[in-house]
Amino acid sequence: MTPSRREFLKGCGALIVSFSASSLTQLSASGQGEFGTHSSHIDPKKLDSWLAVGADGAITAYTGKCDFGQGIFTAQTQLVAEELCVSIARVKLIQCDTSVTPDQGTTSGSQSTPTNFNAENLALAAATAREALLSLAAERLGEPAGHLTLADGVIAGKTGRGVTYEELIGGKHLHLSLSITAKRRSAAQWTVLGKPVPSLDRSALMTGQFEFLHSIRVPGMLHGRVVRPPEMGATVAHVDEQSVRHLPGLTKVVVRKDFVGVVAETQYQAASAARQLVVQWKAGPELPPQKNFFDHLQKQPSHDVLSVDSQDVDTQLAAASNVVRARYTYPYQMHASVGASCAVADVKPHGATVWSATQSAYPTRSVVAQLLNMSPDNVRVIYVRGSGCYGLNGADAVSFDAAILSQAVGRPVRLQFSRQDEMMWENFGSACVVEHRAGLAPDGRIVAWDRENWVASLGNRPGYDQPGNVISGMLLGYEPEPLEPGASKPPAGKLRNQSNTVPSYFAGCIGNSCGGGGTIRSERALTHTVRSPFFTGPLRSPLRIQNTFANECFMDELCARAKADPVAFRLRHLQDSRTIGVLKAAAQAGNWQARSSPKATIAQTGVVSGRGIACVAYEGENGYAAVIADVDVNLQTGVVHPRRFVVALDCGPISNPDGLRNQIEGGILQGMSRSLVEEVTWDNRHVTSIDWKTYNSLHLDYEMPTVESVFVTPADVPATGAGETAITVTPAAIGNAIFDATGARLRDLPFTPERVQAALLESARRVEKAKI
Amino acid sequence: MICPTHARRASVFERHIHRVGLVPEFVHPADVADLRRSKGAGRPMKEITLKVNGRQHLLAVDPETTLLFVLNDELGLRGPRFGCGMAQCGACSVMMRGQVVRSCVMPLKAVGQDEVTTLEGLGTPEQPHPIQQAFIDEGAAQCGFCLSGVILTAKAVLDVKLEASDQEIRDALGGVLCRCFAHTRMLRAIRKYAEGKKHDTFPA
Ligand code: FES
Ligand code: FES
Repeated sequence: MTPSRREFLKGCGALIVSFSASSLTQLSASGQGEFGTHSSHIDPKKLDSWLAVGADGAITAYTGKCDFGQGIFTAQTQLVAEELCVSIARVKLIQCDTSVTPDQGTTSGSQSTPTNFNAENLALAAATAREALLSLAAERLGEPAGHLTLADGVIAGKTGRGVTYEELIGGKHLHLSLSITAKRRSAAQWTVLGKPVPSLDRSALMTGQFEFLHSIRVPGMLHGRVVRPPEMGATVAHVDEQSVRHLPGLTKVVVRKDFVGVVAETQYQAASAARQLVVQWKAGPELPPQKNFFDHLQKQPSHDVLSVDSQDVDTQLAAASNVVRARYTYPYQMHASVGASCAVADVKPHGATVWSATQSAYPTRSVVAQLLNMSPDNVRVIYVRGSGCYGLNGADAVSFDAAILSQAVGRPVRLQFSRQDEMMWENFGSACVVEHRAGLAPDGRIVAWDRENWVASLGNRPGYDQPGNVISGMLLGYEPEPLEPGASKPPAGKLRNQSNTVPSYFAGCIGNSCGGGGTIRSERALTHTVRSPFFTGPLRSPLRIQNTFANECFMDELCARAKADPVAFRLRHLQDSRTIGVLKAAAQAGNWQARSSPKATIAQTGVVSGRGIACVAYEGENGYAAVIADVDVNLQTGVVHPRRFVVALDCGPISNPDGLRNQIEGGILQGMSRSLVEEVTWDNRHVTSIDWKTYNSLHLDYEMPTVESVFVTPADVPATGAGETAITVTPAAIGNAIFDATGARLRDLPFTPERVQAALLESARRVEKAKI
Repeated sequence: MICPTHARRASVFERHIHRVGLVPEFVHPADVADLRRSKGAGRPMKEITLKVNGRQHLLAVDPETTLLFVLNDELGLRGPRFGCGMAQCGACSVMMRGQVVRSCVMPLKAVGQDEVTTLEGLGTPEQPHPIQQAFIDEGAAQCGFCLSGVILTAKAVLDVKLEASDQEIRDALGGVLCRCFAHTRMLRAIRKYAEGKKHDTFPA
């Protein structure tokens, strides 16, 4: 089991690095703003330890950022090993257990690397320990610390004498405060970081021995299933417990407001009982028809935010020689993890333990406590890896439900969602409409760009106190976070572009401060957030992928109107050096030939090919990517087949190039699946994409394109996010390549054969008309 | 808007489901009336022997119980995992008589005397099977949840036809899903295994 800090203190000797009361104020202040961490949960008396070096030299590090397959476990282990100059085998990393690890909020939004690898937290704790060990060694060896060298847990002096960490610590208890001035090792000194270390879970994974959350079994455990309503807004009219009375093994039918679940001795019995339990539901409201959903969205009351407004776009557009308009739509999409979510909860009268695959251990602890009417101090959430989640899948909801079931029966319960529980009720990635208007000067320069988008939103991550943000809470009677319709205040302060609402080509000026990456000064970006009929929540590159699809495809339209080369045209409107850097690197690696799009001659039949490019400064400044897509389009069938992607990425210093390549490949291909086939569907009442026959994903039989990546690493920049950057530009790169190949512009995702065929017809009609 | 490959892919397993007379564990709530007529629990426990990964087990379970639940809950095996419960994703795959079987829709009573091999039955972290070694070398996973379906299905094809083309390997993997999209590395690992086997570079 996980050693607690108390056990360390009881044991022989150790060096422990913790928050001190003084560093606490600073860290919690910055932590709160950036990562939504509640300062109240950083309790200096309890969970303050980042790192412990034992008297045996073993290093245990505690992190609040967890690995769900993105490789952060290995990268963080490398980080600690690097700062302490030991091999990774000496480091034991404990991730996300609220009884021992610090509260680092949620692992999401490409924030883990910036959080734990830059100035704060884990890296700093390890550097603090290294500096302390060095000064102990200096004393012991009688040499100045500057003369000492470190390698593999041994500190050696000029005289050749050496001393190990074990010898330095001996029986002593050294309790250090995290020093915010401890010096990190520079990338030039790295021996463990920056190397393609194979992820540490590989052998166990490939041989089936890895312990997923799905394999957790605890003594005395029962099995649960939930019985969800047939549709959003339906409420329980009657639960006929008699309908399952005869079933063997059934422990209890649990009903709490509109939450219905069953608990039985075995999984099979629980699944059977859930299937056979007769529940009458009062119908929910009708759903807006999917066919005109985006029109509907644009007519709803909305909460408005202006990111930027130079207040002159209308006059500039009126004066422009050429005005281009377009509307882009992006559908609801799913996380749709391969494994339906599960959780194990053991709720006793005085306390509860939940084994969960949540990305948010501490917030989950608070919400579970709220639902069980307990103090958060009496709830322990232990993160165990589940199926890859890509954001807020069913992991939080299933953890809440498991706790409810366990409390109802007074025994540990393992709750397994069915595929439909997962797919009907997860928080989908938001549907989104974007409308653009832009004006071009006679020389092709963009003189003004006006952009408005509508985002469907309901619920979100539950955070520390919003159970109603996911289905479980709503069924128990909690409301989702309210959405207050209202006009926008004028933009103020620094430009905020977390959702990539503002295209990279905007100067982004608010008052005298211009935080954008581009040169366009007549600019407006307005977002309308509208209540969604379905739950929504962060899905890999949340809103960034939707916005970037619309921005980068529209940029391509402007470029085509100006008859310019897509790379040169982008460069002309950019001033951010890192976005420029990746764009140039991609063009070079992909051997980009400067010309305008579409291709000069396009065949009338058969398969045509084209290439497109797109770039982004992720969240404005958290990672940079440019992607070139080469695609084939079958003019008869409308089938689009990407063949090759060239990616250029700048995420600052790279912790693990192999892990990064894996993330890029996975991101591009996932982005491709989302571009080509993925879409949530519904009829007048129900979500109808509820399994793998009704929700599409590219399976393993799909002939995947090649993915080549190059890295740009400017000197002296901090690490940024990386896992979500390449996926963000994938849909736009594909859309632009389709245009290049065919002259047809696809403005609605996914690019299904039907849509491609329709766009081809439309573009042929336009060409005909132009001839007449 | 279902693409043609999708329509093809589900069919093999559906036929299997119908042959064995199974009901996948879920039907849309709108069709709940049908469900009640379907087979449920309620049968008595029985003593059944089951051979898994070279070991014989004597179990007292409802013979209708799906094989996956028995492997996970009674035998504590971690390789096959619950993904969909509907024979649509492959996460629960095991091998029987050289064939890949989706244990989430296979009732225990249908297993009979056939030996079941799971991902952990192929090799261990200390001594991985060559195909597992190829996946380790290539780092062919992200979360790894899908691996039973990927590795066992690929092995089954290559066991029958070592010369299988990329296209044939992909076709066999048609019903297998990886949502982390580690596809490229997985196919590279499979290819590497096949090459190694062809040239017999593996230790016996
Ligand atoms: S869990 Fe058996 S195929 Fe999906
Ligand atoms: S590696 Fe995550 S689903 Fe395949």
